[in-house]
Amino acid sequence: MNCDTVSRGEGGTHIDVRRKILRFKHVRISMDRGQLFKSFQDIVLDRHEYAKRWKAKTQGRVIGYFCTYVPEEIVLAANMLPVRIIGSHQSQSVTDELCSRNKWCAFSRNCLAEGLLGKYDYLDGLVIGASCFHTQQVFASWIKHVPVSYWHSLYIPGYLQGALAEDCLTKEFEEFKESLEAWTGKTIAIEAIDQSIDTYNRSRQLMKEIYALRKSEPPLLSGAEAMEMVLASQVMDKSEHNEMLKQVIAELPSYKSSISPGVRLMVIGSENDDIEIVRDIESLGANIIIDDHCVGSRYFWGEIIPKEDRFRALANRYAQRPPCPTKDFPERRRLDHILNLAKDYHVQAAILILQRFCEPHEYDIPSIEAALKKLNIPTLVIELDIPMSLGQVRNRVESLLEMIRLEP
Amino acid sequence: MLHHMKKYKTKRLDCWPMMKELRRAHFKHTWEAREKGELVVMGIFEWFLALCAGFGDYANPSYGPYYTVILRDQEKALKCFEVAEAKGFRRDICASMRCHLGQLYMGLTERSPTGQVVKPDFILQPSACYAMSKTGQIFSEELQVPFLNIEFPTKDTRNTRTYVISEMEEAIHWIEKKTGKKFSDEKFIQGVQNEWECMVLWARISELNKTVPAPLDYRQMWSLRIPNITSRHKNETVKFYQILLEEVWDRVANEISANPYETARLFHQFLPPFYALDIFKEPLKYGASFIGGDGAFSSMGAWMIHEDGTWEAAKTPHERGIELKDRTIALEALADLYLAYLPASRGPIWVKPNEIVKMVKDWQVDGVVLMIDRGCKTLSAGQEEQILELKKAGIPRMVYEGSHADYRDFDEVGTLLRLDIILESLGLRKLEELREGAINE
Repeated sequence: MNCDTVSRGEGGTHIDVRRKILRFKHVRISMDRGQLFKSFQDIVLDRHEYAKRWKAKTQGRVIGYFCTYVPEEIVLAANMLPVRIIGSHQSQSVTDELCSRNKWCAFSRNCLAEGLLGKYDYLDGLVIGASCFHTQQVFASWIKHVPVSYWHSLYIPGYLQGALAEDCLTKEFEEFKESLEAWTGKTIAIEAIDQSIDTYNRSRQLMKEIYALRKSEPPLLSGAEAMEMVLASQVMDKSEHNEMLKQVIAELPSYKSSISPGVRLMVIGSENDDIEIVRDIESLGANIIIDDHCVGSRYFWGEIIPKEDRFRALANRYAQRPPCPTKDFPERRRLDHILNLAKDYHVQAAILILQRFCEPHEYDIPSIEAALKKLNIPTLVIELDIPMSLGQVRNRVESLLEMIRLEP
Repeated sequence: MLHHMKKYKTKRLDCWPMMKELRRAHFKHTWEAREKGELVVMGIFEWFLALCAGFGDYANPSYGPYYTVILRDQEKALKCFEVAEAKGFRRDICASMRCHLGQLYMGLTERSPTGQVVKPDFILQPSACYAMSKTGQIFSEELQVPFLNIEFPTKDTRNTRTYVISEMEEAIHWIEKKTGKKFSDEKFIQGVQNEWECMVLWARISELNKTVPAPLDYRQMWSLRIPNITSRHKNETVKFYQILLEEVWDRVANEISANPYETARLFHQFLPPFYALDIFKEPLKYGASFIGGDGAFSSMGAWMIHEDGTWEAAKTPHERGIELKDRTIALEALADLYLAYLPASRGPIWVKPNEIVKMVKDWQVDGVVLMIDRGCKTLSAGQEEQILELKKAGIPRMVYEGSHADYRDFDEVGTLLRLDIILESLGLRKLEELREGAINE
């Protein structure tokens, strides 16, 4: 079988062997250093079992959430574990009748598939921060076909730049807290919210600090490691995750960088939690050193500034965080953020990851490409779907990298 | 067999020319408004129309006045789509928005048929979907005009109502500031009353199509709804729908049908292909008719949706004892209209699964045809669930893929063939064949 043409995704059985070999040629990870990040990887791979263990240990409830605009801080303050719903990157026919492959993004299809297949059977509740219509439909189908004892839909204004959005969001967050209280019969104390905000702010600070370690050449951690770190934070206990982050900060700089120099890439885009694709790209002699997507910096950038009204403080952070394209108008604040990151991290090229049929991101691509072009940063758009043809992706990335290497 | 089929009386709609005149006046107004000192508002401004009516009459050329003309002409449409695509906008972006973007980049947006250029005062975009808002952002950047977005929450709570009302208040101040025009509460209140009235009238007209034979068919409704989209804040539009309602009542009372036969009644769900509305004629060959569907009923109808899934025409604020005495009450009434009574504004989470089955029963429908349009993320949300409900209820259905605006994504021949199949599966035969059979006998 020709490795270049092997696709992944159909049942998840085909694995590109050559890709793995290439990866290990490029990234030489020492065992000790590797252990620092392996713990994140283990949690991501074992996320369902992790949540079940957490539940058994704490007797607490687990809430699945769609979209990073859900204020997890309130869930944690209610002593619950917020777990982001993500897919498995494998083709699932179970959603064929509910989400047509010809119009729904693979991410939303795959999330629903996981629900229908019972992978999230440990969830006690489900919450959505109304983002795109695909996700909203998946949420609607989930609560219809996989009943949960609690669900809540948060209205997150699209026009977050508007002066009134913060008031609306503040009230939405208060209502979310009241809804959790009504469900559990327990009051969420203001002290618990404060503590939760501290935990989340600490997490944001620590991840930002670790991200800064990618500014060096070569970076101190790979793009895949960074993504696993962020993804782990979306599915596990935040305090535990913070301890792991502290360990990384304490130990990582003392290791000699085990990552070879490479073309410095930025990944921009739709939701992408496909770590294999990131590894694949990095195996070609590139380092992903920064990103703008919701399994990366967009998730944790921007802290909560304390205010007397805690819900307003939360609303302020979610309104001001680097925006998702569904919430980035009339000004293009996302573009400024991307350009600043590109400069700060000395980006040489950008890969725009696009979930097929992800309209909000499709709208932003022309302006992002044009702005990066002005900085002499070439771009490549990669469309994600399930199944994916990784050989094709690799060819295109290789061409991009060759083009950059040929530049004087 | 043909002679056993009941043949109904048919009659042209008396008020059809009135609708045509209202449509014509709306188009012409874009090029006349500036001379009259009126506002030119750009955007898919099809909701909250009374807001601008508070500033007097205004023109709204959508995102370009040639949309319908372009869609009907494949050569022009292709140019528009290709220009937008060359600018980097991908093919699964909403086809309507791609057509508008094509008009923009080709310089058609502000240009009258005689070459006159009319720059809009601002862009006002109620964000019924993010494609509209993102398109508004691009137009604002390209045309260098201010952009105002009004949010369209997908759930109806006290908080979302407060938000919408505050947004409208802010919009009034914003327009006053940008244009120097003064807002008239009197004109606004009249506009709100008219907006409500038109939407309720449209729902009542749609309800009359429950009658057998249906007094209107889908194609007629598709055209008749246009003044409701473009200018329902105006007195003359209310007058038109009052006349139409009376005429439809009269047709019901006198058993005047939209079509001579009604061997089967069909619904078309979601958007139809705007450029190929002739597919709706196909059932006529079998004596069957498309008599409605959510695209025709709900886009500009005010509906109360009951727990059992029943769609019932809403009552106006006046009918419910609410007098729009001042701006505050009128703003509340406008928020109420769009958050509580416009089915299309709901997110998929809030759509009751039993609605479609109940509608099929109430409108005495024999089969449902649904178009899957990958470009319209908003209205296509919930499609698959609806198909499942129909399947569960054993209701004949036909699903086809297409695009409401991009003819390249629509297979007309294939769709007609599939329509033939569903009609035959309903036990129908072409009238022509029946006639031939009768002659041979």
